[in-house]
Amino acid sequence: MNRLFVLLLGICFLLTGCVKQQILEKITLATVCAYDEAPNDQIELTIAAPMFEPGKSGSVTNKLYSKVGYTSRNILQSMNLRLNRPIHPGKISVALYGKELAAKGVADEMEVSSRDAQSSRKKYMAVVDGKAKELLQAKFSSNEEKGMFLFNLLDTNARTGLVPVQNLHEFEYSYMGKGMDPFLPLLQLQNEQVLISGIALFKDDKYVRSLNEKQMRVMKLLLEDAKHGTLEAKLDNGSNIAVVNVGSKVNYRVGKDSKGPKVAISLTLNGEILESKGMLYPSQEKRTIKDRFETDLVATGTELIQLFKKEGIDPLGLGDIVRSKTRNWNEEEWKQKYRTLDVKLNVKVNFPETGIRK
Amino acid sequence: MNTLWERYNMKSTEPSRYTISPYLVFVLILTMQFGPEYITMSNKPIQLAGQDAWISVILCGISFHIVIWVMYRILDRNGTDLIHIHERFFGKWAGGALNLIFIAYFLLHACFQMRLFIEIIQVWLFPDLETWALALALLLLVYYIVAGGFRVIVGICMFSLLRYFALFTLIFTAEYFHFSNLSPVMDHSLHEIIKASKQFTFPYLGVETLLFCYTFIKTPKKSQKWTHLSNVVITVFYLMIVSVSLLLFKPEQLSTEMWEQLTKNKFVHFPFIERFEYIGAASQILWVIPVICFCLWASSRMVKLMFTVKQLTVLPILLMVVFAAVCLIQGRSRMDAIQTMLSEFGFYMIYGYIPFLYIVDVVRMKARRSI
Repeated sequence: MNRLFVLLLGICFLLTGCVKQQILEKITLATVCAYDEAPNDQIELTIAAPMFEPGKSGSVTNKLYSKVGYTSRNILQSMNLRLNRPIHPGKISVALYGKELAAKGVADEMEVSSRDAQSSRKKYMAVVDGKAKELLQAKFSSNEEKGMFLFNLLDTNARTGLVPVQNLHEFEYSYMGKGMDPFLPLLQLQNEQVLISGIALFKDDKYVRSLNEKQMRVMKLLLEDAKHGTLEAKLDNGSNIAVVNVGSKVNYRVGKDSKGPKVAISLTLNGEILESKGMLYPSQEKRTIKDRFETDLVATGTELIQLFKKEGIDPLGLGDIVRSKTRNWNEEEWKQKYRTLDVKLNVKVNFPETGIRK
Repeated sequence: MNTLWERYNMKSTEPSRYTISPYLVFVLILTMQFGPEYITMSNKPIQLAGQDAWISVILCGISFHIVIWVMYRILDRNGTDLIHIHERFFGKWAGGALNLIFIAYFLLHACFQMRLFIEIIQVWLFPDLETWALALALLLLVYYIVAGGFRVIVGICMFSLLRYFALFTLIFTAEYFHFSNLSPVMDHSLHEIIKASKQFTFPYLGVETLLFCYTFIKTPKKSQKWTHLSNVVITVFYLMIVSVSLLLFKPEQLSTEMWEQLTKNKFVHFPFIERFEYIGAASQILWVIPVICFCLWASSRMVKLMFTVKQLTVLPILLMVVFAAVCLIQGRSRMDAIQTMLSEFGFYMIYGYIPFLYIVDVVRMKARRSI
C-alpha cells in the first residue's frame, strides 16, 4: 500500500508539467486597448502591442492591431492569426472608449473584464474625444510604451493631480448602484499630444456630456477629500493668485423640509498661497483673496450642480447619500424629485500659510 | 445513576493515546465551521437584508451558541458520541439508519468541498485542468492524513490556521470603502433579517462534527467553553467578511459576482505579486482539506462501528466513492443544487434534529426516573 502511495504521489508531481504554460517571451502582453464604434452594432478593437527590439535595451515601440467584430474575445482570437506571439489580455490596464461608442453604452465592454478571472479590477478607463484608435496611432510617447504612458498619465493625475479617482471597480459601483451615475476622464489629442481635457459624464452607462478642466477641479473637490492640486483666481485689481490645496474636506448634510429632502454641501479648503502676480504682500489682502476664491468655487460648483440636475445625472452620488440617511428610500421617487432638489453649497477657504514670504 | 454519568464525563472512552486536549477543540471546531463556503456567503443574505446583513450574522452566531449548549447537554449526559446515542435511543435498526443518513451527509459534504476547490482552480487558474487529476492528487493526500488517525487530522487543522494570513489582505480593499453603504441601520423588516440569518447557517455549519468526535476529547466536559469561543471567533470573522462586502460593493454588483470573497483579492497588490488572486484561490486548499479529512474520518468510523470492519479497509472504498462522485459533478448548476441540498439538510439538522434529540433525551431521563 505504502509503495503504491509513493508511486502515485510521484506521478502527481510529474503531472504538473502537463499544465498549459504561458512563457513571457512567447506571448504579447498588451497594456492598452481601445474600443470604437463600427457599423452594424460591431466594435472595433485596437491593441497596442509592445515590441522590444533585440539588442537595444530600453527601447520599446508599439505596433497597432485593430479589427472589427462583434465580441472583443473573438477579435483577439482572430488578431492572433496575424501575430507570431498570441495576445494575452490579462495585463491590460487602460481601456479607452471612443466617444461615439461611449454614447451608445460601455456596459457590454466593461462586462468582459469583470467576467474574466485574469482581468484587473483596478483597470483605468477613459473616454477619448474622437476615435480611440486615432489617439493610439499618434506618436505621443517618445520613449515609453504607449500603454504604460497612458497608465502613468491617468494614475499620477488621479493620485496627485486634478482628476477624480475612477477605475473599473468604481465605475461599475456607481453604474450599478442606485442613486448615482459614473464618470470617466476625457482624453484628447492635441498636436500629437495626449492630454486629460476634462470629465466625461455618464447617464447609466451612456456618455452624455463633458466637463472642462476648471469644472473638473471643482468636481474633484466635491467628490473626495483632496490634498493636492492648485487653484487660480483673478482679483478685481487685476492680480492673479495661485493657491495650492493642502487639504480639503467635503461634507454632505441631508435635511428635510415639507417638499422632501434637501442637501447641504460644505467644502472646507486649506490653501497655501504660492504665487501672487501684481501683489507684493498677499498676507495683508487675505480677506479679499479668500472672498474671491469662495465666490469662484461657489459659482462653479453651483453651476455644476445645476447642470447635473438639468441633465438628470448624478455623478456626485447625491441619491446614494440621501438613501443612506432616509428610511425606505425609493429610486423612482427620487428620480422625479432630483431635478428640483434643493442643493446648497457652502465653501470656506482658509489660508493658514503664505509660503516663506509675507 | 448520577454518579454513572459523572464517571463517563470525567474521562473519554477512547484510549488516551488517541485523544486530544480540550483546548484543541477550539482549533478543530474553528476549522470545521470556517469552511470554504465563506467565499460565497455574503451574496445571498445581502440580497435579502441589504445593509442589515451584519445583524443576521450576529443573530445566527447567537443561535449557534444555543445549539452548542444543547449539543453538550445531550453529549455530557450520555457520555458518548452520536453514533452510540442513536443506537441507545432508537434501537439498532432505526439508529443504524440514522447513522447511514449521516454517513451520506458527510460523504456528500466531502464531495461538495472537493468539487468546489477544483472548480475554483479551474475558473481562476487553469481552465483546462482535468477534474479527475486534481481529485486524485487531493484524495491521496486525504488518505495519507486520515490513515494517520484523528490526532493527525487535528494537527492538519492546526496547520491550516496559516490561512488567516490570507484574510489580512482584506485591508487592501480599504481604499475603496464606502461607509454610507452601512446606513440606514434596520431599514429592513425583522422577517427579512431572519431570512438572511437562515442563509448564514450553511457557513456556520461544522459544530455538528463535535457529535462524532466527542469521545476523542480527553476531558470532554471541559471543552464546551472552547467550542463557544470558536463560535465567537467565527462570528467576528464572518462579521468582518460581510462588512467588507457591504462596504466594497453595491448589492446590485454583488448579485453578479460568483465568489465575491475571491474577487476581493483582485484589489490586493504587492510589489512582488502582481495578481494576488492566484494565491487567494490556491490558498483555499487550507480551508478545504481539513474539512474533507474530517468528513471521511467520521464516515469511515461510523461504517467501522456499524459493520465491525477495520477503518483502514473502509477508507479506500469511501475515497473511491468520493472520487467517482467528484468526477461526475459537472458545472455550476449541479454545484448549486448540491449546496442547497446540504444547506437545507444542515439547517434542519441544527435547528430541528438536535433540539429533537435533546427532547428525546429529557423524556428518556424523566421516564427512567419515574420508574
